[in-house]
Amino acid sequence: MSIFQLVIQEIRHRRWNFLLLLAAMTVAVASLTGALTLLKAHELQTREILAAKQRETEAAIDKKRKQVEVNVARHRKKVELAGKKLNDTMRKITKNLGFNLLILPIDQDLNELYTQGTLSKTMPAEFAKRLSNSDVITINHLLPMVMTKLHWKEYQQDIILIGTQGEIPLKERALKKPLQKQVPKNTIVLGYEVHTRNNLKKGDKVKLMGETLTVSATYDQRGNKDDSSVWINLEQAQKLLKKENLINGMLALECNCATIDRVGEIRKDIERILPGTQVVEHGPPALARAEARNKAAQAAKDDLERVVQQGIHSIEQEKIAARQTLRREKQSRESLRTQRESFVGILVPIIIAASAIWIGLLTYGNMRQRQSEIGILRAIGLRSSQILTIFLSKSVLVGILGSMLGYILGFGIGMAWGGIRAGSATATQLFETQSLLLALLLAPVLSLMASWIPAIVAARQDPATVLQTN
Amino acid sequence: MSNVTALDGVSLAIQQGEFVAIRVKSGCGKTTLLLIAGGLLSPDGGRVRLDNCNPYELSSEERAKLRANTVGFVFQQFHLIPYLTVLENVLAANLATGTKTETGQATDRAMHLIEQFGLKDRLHHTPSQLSTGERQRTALARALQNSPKIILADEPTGNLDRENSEIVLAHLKNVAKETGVLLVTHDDFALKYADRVIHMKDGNIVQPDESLLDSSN
Repeated sequence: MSIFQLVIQEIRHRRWNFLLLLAAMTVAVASLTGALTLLKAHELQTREILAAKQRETEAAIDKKRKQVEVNVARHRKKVELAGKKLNDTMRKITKNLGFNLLILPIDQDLNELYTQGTLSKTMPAEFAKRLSNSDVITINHLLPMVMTKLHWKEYQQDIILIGTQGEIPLKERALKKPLQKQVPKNTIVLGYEVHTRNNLKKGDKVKLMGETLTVSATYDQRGNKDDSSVWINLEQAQKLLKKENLINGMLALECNCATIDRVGEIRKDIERILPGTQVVEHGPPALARAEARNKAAQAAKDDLERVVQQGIHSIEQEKIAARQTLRREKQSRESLRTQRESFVGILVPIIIAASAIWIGLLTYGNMRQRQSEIGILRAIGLRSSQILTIFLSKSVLVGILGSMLGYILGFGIGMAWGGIRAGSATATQLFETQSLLLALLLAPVLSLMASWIPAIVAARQDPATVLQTN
Repeated sequence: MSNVTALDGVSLAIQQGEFVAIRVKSGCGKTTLLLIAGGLLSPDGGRVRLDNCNPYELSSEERAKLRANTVGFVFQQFHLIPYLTVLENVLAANLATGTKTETGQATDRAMHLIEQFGLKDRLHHTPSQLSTGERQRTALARALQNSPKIILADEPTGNLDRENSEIVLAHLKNVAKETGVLLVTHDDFALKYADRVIHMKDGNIVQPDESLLDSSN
C-alpha cells in the first residue's frame, strides 16, 4: 500500500467528486486553450484571406494591364492604318500639294512659268538619270518632262503640252508606288477642260501637231492648270517640239526633310549633283503636305499617348482600389481580432478563477467528508506532510488529466469557433507542442493552488478532536 | 515497560504482556484518557511515558513516528477507511512506518493477522461488506500490523453483539500475551478478560466498591 494507491482507491470510491474536479479543470484549460487557438486560427485565417485578396487584386491589375495593352495595341494599329490610309490618300490627291519641287535650268525665267505656265529653257535629259543615280534621299518621286504652251489648232484651244516618261526609279530609295505612270507612245491623256470642252473620251483618236494619238485617260477636274493640260510620251513630245535629249525640268515630288529649312537642304543636295540648275517649290506652300502629314502623325501620336495615359491611369486606379480593399480587409480583421481578444481577455480569467474556486470548494468538501479517515490515519502514525501529500497528489492528478482533456476540448472549440476545418492544413498549423506542454505544466499548478488551503487544513487537523467527536 | 499517567494525579503503568481494563462510565473521558496515553492529546498537567519516552516532548513528526511504532488503536467506531479492502486497511498501517509493502514482509504479516482473526475469506471486501465483528477484527489487525508495544482499545465491543464481543475480547486477550493492552470500557462483561481492572470515577482511580459497577451497562 502506497500513498498513490490510497489516492487512486479514494478516487474510485468518490468518483463523482473526482469527476467534478476534473470537469472544473478541463473547463479552465479548455477556455484558455480555446482562446489561444481561436486567436491563432484568426491569425492564420487573416494571413490566408489577405494572401487570397492580394492574389485577387494582382490578377485584377494584371487583367487591367493586359486590357490596356490590348487597347493600346489596337489603337496603335488603328492609328497606323489610319496613318497609312492618310498617307496613301494624301499621296494620291496632294502630289501637287505639299512639299514638291521643280528642278529647272538655272537660266529659266520663273516669271515665264508663273505668268504663262510654260518653260522655254532646257537642260540635258541625262540630268534626270544623274539625279536618280545619286545619293539624294529627300526626293521620293522624280518626273522629268518637257512643257510648253501651244494653241491646239484642231480644237481651237490653248493647252499646256507636257511630255512625260512617268517616274524614274531612284537608286537610294526603295521602290515606291508611282504618283504618275508613264504615258505610252501614240497615246494622250487629257485634262478636264480639254476633254469636256471637246467631248473627248478614252479611246478617241485625236490629232496633235500632225501626230495621231489615242486618248488613253481623261482626268477629273482638279481646279488647277492640269485641267488645261495634255500629257504625251516624253520622247514623242521631244520630237514634236524639236527638243530631242532635252528636258525643260524635273518634278521632284513628296520631298521630305526633317529640318525646318527643307527646301534649302534639298536645294543644296541637288545643286551639288546638278550644278547649273535651280530648285523652286512647286504648287501651294511646300510644307503644307509634310506639315499636314506631320500634324496628322502628331495628332495620332497625341491620341495614342492619351490612350496610353488613360490606360496607365486606369491601372493606377485599379492599384489604388486594390490597396484600399486590402487595407479595409486588414482593418476589418484587426478589428475582429481586437474584439475577440477583449472578449477572451475578460472571459478566460473569469472562467479560470471560477474553476479554481470550484476546485477549492470541492477539495474542501472532500476534506470534510474524510475527517474521520484523516483522524485515524494520523492516529496510526501518518505525519501531517503525508496527509498533505495525499490531498495534493490528487490535485496534481486532476491537473494532469484535466489539462489533457481540456487541451483537446479547447483546441476543438477554438477550431470550430475560428471556422477551421478539421484535417485541413491550417488545422495542422494550429497545433503547437509548446501550448500543450504549457497546459500540462500550468494546470497541475492551478489545481495545487486551488487545493492548497483545504489540503493544509486537512494536514493540520487535530486527530484527537475528530476521534473524540466520532 | 509502558507508563501511562492517568488524570488528576493518578498514575498507571501497563506492562508488556499485561491486559488492563479501566472501567469508567460512558462520557466520562475514556476516549480522552486513551488519546493522552497514545500521544494524540497533550495533557494539561502530568506526565506520559510511552516506551520510556515522553511523546509530548517530541516534535509532531517524531510523535507520529513513535505512535506508528509503539501504539495500536482500536476504536468503538472501528474507523476503517471505507474504500480500502480488509487487506488494504491492515496494510495502511505501514504507510506510517514507511515499510514498503512490495517486499512482501508487511503483506505476510498482514495475511497472518487476517488469518488469525478469521478474515481470510473477506480479504478483498470493503468495510461496507463486513459485519460489525469483522470490521472490529480488521481494526484490531491494523492496530497490530506494526507490532506495537501497546494496544489502546476504546470500547472495542461497544457496537458489537455478545458473540462478536467475546470473539474480539478473546483476540485481545491472546494479543496481550505479546503486547500490552489497555482497554477502557463501561461494559462489565469485558472486565473478565482483563488481568487487572481499574475503576475510575471523576478522573480518579477508585475502589470497586465505590458504586462504579452499574448493572444497567
